[in-house]
Amino acid sequence: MNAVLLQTDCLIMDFGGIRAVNDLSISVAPNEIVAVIGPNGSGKTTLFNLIMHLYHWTSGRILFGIPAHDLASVPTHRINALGIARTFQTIRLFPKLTVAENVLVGMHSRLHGGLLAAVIRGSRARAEERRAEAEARDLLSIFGRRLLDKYDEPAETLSYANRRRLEIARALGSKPQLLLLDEPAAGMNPTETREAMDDIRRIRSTGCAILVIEHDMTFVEGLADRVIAMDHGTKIAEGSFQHVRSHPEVIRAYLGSGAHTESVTTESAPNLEEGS
Amino acid sequence: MREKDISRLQTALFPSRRWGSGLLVAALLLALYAIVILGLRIERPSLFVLYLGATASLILAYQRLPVVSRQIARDFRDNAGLAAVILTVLLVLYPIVVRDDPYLIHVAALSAIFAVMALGLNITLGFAGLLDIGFAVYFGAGAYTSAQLAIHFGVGFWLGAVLGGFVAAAFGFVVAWPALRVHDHYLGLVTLGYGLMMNLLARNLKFLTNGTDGVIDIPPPAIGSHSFTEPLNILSLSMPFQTNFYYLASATALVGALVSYRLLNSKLGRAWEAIREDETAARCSGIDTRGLKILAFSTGAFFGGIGGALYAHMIGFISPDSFTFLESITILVMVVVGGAGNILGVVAGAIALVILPERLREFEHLRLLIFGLALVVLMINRPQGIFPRTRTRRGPRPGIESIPLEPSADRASPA
Amino acid sequence: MYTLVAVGFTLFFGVMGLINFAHGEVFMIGAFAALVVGRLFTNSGIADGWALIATMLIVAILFCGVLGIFIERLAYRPVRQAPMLVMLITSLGVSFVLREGVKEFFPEGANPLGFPSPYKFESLHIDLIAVGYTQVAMIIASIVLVAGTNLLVERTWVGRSMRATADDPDAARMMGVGIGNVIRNAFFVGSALGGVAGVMNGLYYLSIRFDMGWTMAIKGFTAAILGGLGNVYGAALGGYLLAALEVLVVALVPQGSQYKDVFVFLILILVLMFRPSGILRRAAQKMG
Repeated sequence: MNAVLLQTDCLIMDFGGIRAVNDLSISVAPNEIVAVIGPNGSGKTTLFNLIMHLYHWTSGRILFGIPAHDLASVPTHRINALGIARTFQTIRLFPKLTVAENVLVGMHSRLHGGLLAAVIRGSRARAEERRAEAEARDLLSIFGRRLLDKYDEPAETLSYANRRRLEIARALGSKPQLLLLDEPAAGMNPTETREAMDDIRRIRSTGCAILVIEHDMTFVEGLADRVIAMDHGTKIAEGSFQHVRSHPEVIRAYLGSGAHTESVTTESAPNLEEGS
Repeated sequence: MREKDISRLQTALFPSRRWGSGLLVAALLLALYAIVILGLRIERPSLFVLYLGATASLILAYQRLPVVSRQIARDFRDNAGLAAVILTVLLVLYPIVVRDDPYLIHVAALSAIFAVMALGLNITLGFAGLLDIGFAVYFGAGAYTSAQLAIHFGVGFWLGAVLGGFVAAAFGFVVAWPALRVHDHYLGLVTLGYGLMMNLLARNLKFLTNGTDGVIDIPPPAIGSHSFTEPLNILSLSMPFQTNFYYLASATALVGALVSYRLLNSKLGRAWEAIREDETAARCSGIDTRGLKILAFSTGAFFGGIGGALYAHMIGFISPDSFTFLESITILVMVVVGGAGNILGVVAGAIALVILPERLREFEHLRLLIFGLALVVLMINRPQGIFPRTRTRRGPRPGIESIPLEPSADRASPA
Repeated sequence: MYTLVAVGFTLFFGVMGLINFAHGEVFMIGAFAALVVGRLFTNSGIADGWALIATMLIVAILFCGVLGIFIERLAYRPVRQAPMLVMLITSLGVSFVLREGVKEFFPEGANPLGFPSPYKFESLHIDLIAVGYTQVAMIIASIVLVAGTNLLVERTWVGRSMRATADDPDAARMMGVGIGNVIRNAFFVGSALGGVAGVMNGLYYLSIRFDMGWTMAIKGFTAAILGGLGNVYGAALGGYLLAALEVLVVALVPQGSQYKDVFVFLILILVLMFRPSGILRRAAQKMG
């Protein structure tokens, strides 16, 4: 099956004099997990911002969906409705809103009812609110009791790991076909990282595709079907984890030229079980 | 005092828990009622200042003891129905209680009108986080629309007020649409300019507004044959005519509060708050931020228009001097000081900021200065206002109907 | 005149991301401070016009600059970490305090006050055009000041640190730039410029009022937007452009002088709608 969910064609993004994304052509298939790696500043987050159309790209195309939509004319909020959701490198929750409300906001594009419905609050509107809350609870239960127990707490009171989880739960609220995760394992210890990997596997099993930016190589190795390596906005390697990590260009990007050709691994705890 | 102690105290005083908290709620409401009326009655300025000091310390104490306030909040939540009934009764009885002084009824009606407008700005500023310091434009738009329609086209108040609301909403739309194209930061100055410009236009466009002479002889509303300028008969008591307006305004304010409450706890309200908290994240979550911001503006403006129409028909006379920057800022201070986003706080702010200038007339010329100081001090120390926004709990805590857990997830639970 | 205020706005926005409402009031205070100087001169019988003007300017620059720093310290620093909305409201509050403060506490503050303006009625005659000395002086002064400010911003360490902070506060801090100092400098310069503008306003119109800050704030802001907020040259250009447009309106539209403020506001709206990044600044390709 050659179905493609997301595709960028020769994508270029210039900011003033800086080329953040250079002739980038990548694709993601449905239900695939693709990891994007690369040193800091290689344009990975910019790629996400472009996919969400937060900036308008200088040239190239971004196509999403089956049948494919050209995202050039689609505003950010409609991209979410089309089926792409994201998390942020720096975690951008709605701090004063509760855990529940954060997830409910994530579901915004799937809920009906505007001003009038809110004010009149007929039986249909109330039923929808109830259903929405039930679904929010289901979503939160992906992470066990951790977030459910904090259902009515403001998001700003959560621990770091829980905040990352909540951000993912919020993104899942829109039932995306493609989930963009920006460094979901950042700042996590090995146990939390393992749990995060389990969570992501579970999410994948619901049918969604995942494009994930990560630095933690255990994470990447254990999850990704395919890896794309970027440096200075350009794709320098693509393929399986093994292929990419031993690619000379990738090694050079991480370690600088003149480094020895040992494979790239990061400080991962020695006795981690591979895979699930 | 710990929570357990207070609960125990309550249970000791009132053997049945349910009755106990209900009685507490009733007692508190009555006490508040008495305090407000007392404040209105005090004649001598020195006593009044004392009164202000006392109430201020009460409020401070309430804020400083979160245990007490949380308990009280819980009691109110549990007895929400009872509280609503008592409150309505108290409000209805108010004119009867003060019927010897029609001025007090007038002041209360005015407070209710400003409460409606403060609720409007609360939507724009408190919910969506958009700074609008030209609110008087909507106030004026509603007033002029309703007044001119009544005078020149014989449109009844009831229709005129609604139309006034929509015209005001249009004014809100017109300024929001371009101003929100880029940065919310510009809104402040743009709305300031808007307010000044509209005031200028109102002064000069005689054919529309009669210029600085203003519009006079605005017909009062009427229900059937009963005009609002006639005394009202309740239970064989003849109430001064201001009572009509008081009931009308209070009812409108109550409706406004209810509408605000419903908006807050809906998909729309959440979206507005999301926009306020983090606009980019809101956009990526599917929220049409630009459209909803404009909607927030227009909705707030609508409230302002309704308030304006009420004002026009109550006072009977309007001019550009009724809708100046001072009014805009007064409403802003009501919202900010009362507690942006908090429906009750904003209403309390409105009441306070109508009554205080009336009682402290000698300091009228210092009003703006005091506002300025209050704003700066408040922003530095307590930006959320005197009554900050509290989050509503969404029903029972998910305990019993939880989903069966996988053992592994449960085992490794971090903080 | 608009230029100087506009440059001030641009500085505040560029360095702190703040739309400083109080700036209009600083402008007003500059005028009042100069008035005090003027009265002192009159009382002590000094008749030298140039000395008067020079002293006024110096006093305005110093007084307003220091005032700016003072305001920043007292009112803005504590809320710098808070969301923008809080800072905006704070600056609004400060503007009230300044404005009403002058109205209340300056003798006769509530009424328009006469402002001494030597040379006001003497003009330079070039061919057929009579240009008032005052106008010439103002134009020259503003050019000098703008050029000076731009030099400051572009060439000196002070200026560069300001720009660095505007671009990326964290990186700047890591490079050893004291953010507090940068902000303080920006406030000094911005406020000083505002003060000078106030003096010029007084010299030109011969009278000052406590509420002259408002309209000037809006016009200065419009000019800054016109040229691109954050761009000093842009603000300068915006200022001249706005003044020129205003003159045009007064000349062309019947009863124009009454409506000129409205017109300025219309320009603001138009610019925001069609060219929000200003005429000069090239917009980053952001979507909607």
